[in-house]
Amino acid sequence: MSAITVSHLHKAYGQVHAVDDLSFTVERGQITGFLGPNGAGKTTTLRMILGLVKPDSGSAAVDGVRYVDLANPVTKVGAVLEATSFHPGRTANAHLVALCAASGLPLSRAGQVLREVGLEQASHRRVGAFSLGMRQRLALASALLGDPSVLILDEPANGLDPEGIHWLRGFVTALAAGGCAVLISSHVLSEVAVTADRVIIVNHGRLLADTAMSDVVDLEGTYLELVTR
Amino acid sequence: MMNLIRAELLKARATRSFWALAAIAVAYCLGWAATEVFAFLQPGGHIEDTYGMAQQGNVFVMVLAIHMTAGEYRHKTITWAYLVTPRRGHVITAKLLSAALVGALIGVAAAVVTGGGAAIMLSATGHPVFTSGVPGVLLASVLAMALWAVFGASLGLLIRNLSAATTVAFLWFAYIEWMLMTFVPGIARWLPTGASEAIVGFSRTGFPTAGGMLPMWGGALLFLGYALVAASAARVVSVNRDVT
Repeated sequence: MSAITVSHLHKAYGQVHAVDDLSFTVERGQITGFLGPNGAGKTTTLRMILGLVKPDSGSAAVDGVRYVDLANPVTKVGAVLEATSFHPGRTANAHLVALCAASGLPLSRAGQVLREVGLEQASHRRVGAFSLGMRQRLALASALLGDPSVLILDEPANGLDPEGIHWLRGFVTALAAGGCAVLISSHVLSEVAVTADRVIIVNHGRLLADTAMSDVVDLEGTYLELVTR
Repeated sequence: MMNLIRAELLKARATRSFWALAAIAVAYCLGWAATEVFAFLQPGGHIEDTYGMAQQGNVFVMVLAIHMTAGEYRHKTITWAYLVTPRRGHVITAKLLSAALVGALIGVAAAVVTGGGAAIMLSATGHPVFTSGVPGVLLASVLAMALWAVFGASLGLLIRNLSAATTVAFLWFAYIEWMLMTFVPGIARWLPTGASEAIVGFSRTGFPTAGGMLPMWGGALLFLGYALVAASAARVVSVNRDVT
């Protein structure tokens, strides 16, 4: 069974079909790049997989189970959605400790994941003083709390400096090599080209391509041809 | 559920605004107790009213509770909450229960500080310090604070916009209730403020005089009813709404 199965997902906002009969799978041990222009429906799709947005029709499942039906989802799926979604008045540690408590994980996991993402020095600083890159690391730390086998990352490279991007690349590559399924939405084609094993391209909510990276000679050329067609 | 309540309490206490609002709520109660003793209390008057000031900071408790819920939308941290606990009804129940707990704890602090302060001030001004009605008034104050917190948390869940929720609460308690009371005689005791004042059994401002106050249990039930109506509406809208 695939780690993530999206089948015939559909979501409309008024007259706009944000996601239109979209189907794909994400497999374990691979990094799957999820590409498309702004407004192509990537974020809506990811949020439907995570049970935050209700599809009009179709379904999405993790290991064959809807996200909302998972017993303790953080132990199965980690998600990084928006870099800014923290309370500025809480410390990094307080944010993570509350997530640990809510999911019944030992509170000591907070310190462990902060070390994993290289934020241990900043653990007791308030998030309001964090740079965008630090927030991305904190979001990733939050996603890793339950030691999940499926990672969903929405534009994780936003705000990271070159050293941070290099670090992130190594990080997700190691996770995939360890058997995790990683789904990454991105605008940065060159980054996807060097990290992804598979690539999914969408526009206007529809699937344009779903292919192994090894079959793609020129990702940018292929992408531009598909989305401007 | 215990895990979720624990998480809510951890989140609440991790911000400075929480402690600031809690401190203001307690200080405000003490300030009103002093005002009561030095400005209003007549010899032989109701000294219980001084102790009843232990719930006077209820508006700050309500605002604090609005922050506990609408603040999650303001900072988009509700996304994390729902990712961890996709059964949203559980998150909302935990929020209401933890707000009640926070309100009760601040109520206890206010009762201790106001009660101690009132005793000292009453004694210094030659009034009797204690009557058999005092413990009941202090306990009722704690209950009122807990209910105001539930009310605020529900309001925040329902409106979701932090500034809008705070503004609505302000307009309601500062103006709209007073207008209703002016134009609809006898309605005062059925309004949230009237119900809340019935819980401690006195009116700070003669607010619910028209028709008299409800009995203590009636006020508590009515106020709880207001809070639960808001909470149920909040639950219905939250459970199905897309989080974007």
